[in-house]
Amino acid sequence: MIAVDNNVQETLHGYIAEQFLGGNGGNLKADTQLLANGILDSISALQVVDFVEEKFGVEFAAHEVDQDNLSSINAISSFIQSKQAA
Amino acid sequence: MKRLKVLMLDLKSYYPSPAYQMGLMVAYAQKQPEVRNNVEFVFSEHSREQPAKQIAQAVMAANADLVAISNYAWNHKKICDTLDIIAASGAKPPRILLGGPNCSGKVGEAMLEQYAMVEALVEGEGEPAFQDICLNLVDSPTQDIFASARNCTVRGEDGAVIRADIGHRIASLDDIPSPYLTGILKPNPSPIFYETNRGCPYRCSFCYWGNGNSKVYRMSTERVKEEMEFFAENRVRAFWIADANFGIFPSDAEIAEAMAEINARHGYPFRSVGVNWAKNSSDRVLNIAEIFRKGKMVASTTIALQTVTAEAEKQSKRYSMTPVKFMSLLRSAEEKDIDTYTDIILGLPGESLDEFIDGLDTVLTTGVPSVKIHQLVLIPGTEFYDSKESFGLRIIPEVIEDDIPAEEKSDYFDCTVVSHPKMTVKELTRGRYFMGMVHMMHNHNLGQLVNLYLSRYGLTGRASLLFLEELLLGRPTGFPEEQHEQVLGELRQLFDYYANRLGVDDNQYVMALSFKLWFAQGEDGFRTNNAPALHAFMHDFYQALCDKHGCCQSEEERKLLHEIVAYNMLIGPKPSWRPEASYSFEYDVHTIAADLRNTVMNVTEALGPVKARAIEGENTWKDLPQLVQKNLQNLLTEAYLARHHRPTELSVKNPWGIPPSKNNLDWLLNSRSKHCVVQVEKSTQLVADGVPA
Repeated sequence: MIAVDNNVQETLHGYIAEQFLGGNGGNLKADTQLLANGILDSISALQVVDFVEEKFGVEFAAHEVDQDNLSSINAISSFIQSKQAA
Repeated sequence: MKRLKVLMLDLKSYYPSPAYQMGLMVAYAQKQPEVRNNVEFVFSEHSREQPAKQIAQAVMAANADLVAISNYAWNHKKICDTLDIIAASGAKPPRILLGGPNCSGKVGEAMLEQYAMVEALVEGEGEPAFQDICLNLVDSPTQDIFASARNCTVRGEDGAVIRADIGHRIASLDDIPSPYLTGILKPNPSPIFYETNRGCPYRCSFCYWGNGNSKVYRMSTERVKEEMEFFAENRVRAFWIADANFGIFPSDAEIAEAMAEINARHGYPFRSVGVNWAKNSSDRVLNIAEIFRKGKMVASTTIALQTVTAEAEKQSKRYSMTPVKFMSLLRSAEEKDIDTYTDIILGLPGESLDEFIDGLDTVLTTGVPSVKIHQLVLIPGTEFYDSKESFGLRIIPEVIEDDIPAEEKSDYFDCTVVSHPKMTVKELTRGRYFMGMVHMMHNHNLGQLVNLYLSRYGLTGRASLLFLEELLLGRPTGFPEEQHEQVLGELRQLFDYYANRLGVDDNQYVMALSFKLWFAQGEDGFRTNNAPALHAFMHDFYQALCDKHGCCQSEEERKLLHEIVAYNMLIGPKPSWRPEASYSFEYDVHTIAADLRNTVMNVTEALGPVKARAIEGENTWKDLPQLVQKNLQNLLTEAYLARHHRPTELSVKNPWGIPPSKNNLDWLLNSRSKHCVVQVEKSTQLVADGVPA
């Protein structure tokens, strides 16, 4: 099991709140559903992918840009750590 | 010599894509060393949402020697607003060159007349004109730089419009250097617009493409490969191929093969390809779509119709394929697992509202996965635009006050048709209700299968649309409104707002409807999934429809109807919806659904006599709904339904995890692959009295 990296989560929280919630991230939790709750869509999800690739130096393969890896801050964070550990 | 500055002003539509057409013009101009060495090209790109005031400020602040603007139907109003602000500022205006499809004919002339700062227009291909103008600018920056340029229209000394040297075409698109490989444009954000050929051999009355550009010129496959390698290395995810008729050349299959091969070699960065397919789609188009699919690129395919009303076809000079051909292509696409959709135009001259609704019913009967309805737009340079009065076409500004909020206003506000001699404004407004209702019932697939099943009782898709209309308009229907206040109330509000308001952007109309159907507002301020409430609504909707028509009244019939509705709701496209572990049914609805669908797909055999008449030139679409219904009634016998009365357990997978952007209707073009996938986990044959065998 990969330990949660609070720095990664905080960075993601700050980015998503700023970019997609107008800076208002009070209700945004690590397990908030980003796709089902309408925070991310097909275009903003790709912005998150670009941000993650640049900020954390990991690369999404085509099939990895999906619901499993982008559904919440927890899911994105786990993806980043699994890539960094590989 | 001080470098001259040319501002390339790009006012975008919905896509944030690089300014491809402007990049091509700069690349072609820079072939000349004088231009390359002496002119700095600065791109000023603005989203659809950006107000004209900010754009005007950017133009003025640039202090450029020349400002080049691409003028399309979708940004024409924004350009006018921007120029009005610049003119009203009292500051010295820049020299402005306009190009693009909206510079043709009367619209272009009006721009020259209205705005003194617009010194010239480019009509036709921009590259030759822009190269000449840039050379002239280097040669004599303060003099007339336009009059001697190819494809340029200017104002004469007496104010008359002069078209001195129009009609130049670039015979090989390889002559235009790649704006991507030369570093003029960055290959992001997606989608990347890309052109492999130019021109269109057709002369449809509503389309600009073939006007003066009837000969199609190509780019070599080698050049395409070179750029695709670059795109793959730069991990481009989505393309829009801007050709008018991709698939018109046999070599287009080679281009698709090359893209698939490059994609595979680079680990599949390319995810989707948007295409304007060759008209009157052929097997070649489907073969190319299959190449894209196998290369892991989503590429939905238009099976083009526009209308199935004979008089509208005649006036549009756009003759649809026969139903035999249409169904054959649809079947072939299904076999190849290719997404398809068709376009229908509302407001074509020669078609009444009743004929439009009949046509919709016919097209929906085919089972084509998506139907995109567009309101007719008059594009400068088209026959409909030039002969607007003789066709009796009236547009929005002639009929209503401009009171639409800027953020909701259609980019085509000034050129959208709202009536003609066979359709009043009131009737067209009713047609806009059908635009939304077809999107809701058919494209979202809330009832495609149910409508086929109801053929058993002589009901068609038209009956369910008319019933929905009654419900939305608040007429008595027998539907238990009090149990669905929230869903029904929100739908009524949305239809009333968008359908009744001419001039509201159609994409916003249907996408607002999509989001209303998919999501509800949660208490924490975020959305929640709306599937449970919508499912309950659809169950009662179909029961009330049957009650109204006095059919499906026994307990067993109702049970089966509700199972068909439940199955239909399970398979419909629902982004980010998570299915339960399994779903139990008393009937083998999965097999029934497959049989219904196959019966429609194979109706071609029953179309034999129709085919013969089609060869004689008769419009044969109107026979299709009756033929489909007859075949379905032959399938849905009591014995057939009894055989399929067996407990069935289904599992469901939802392939659609990431919801579409609110402004982007692309999901509609590949809705088939967005459907949930059902698998039978267990199905038990009942032999008697409900006892499993």
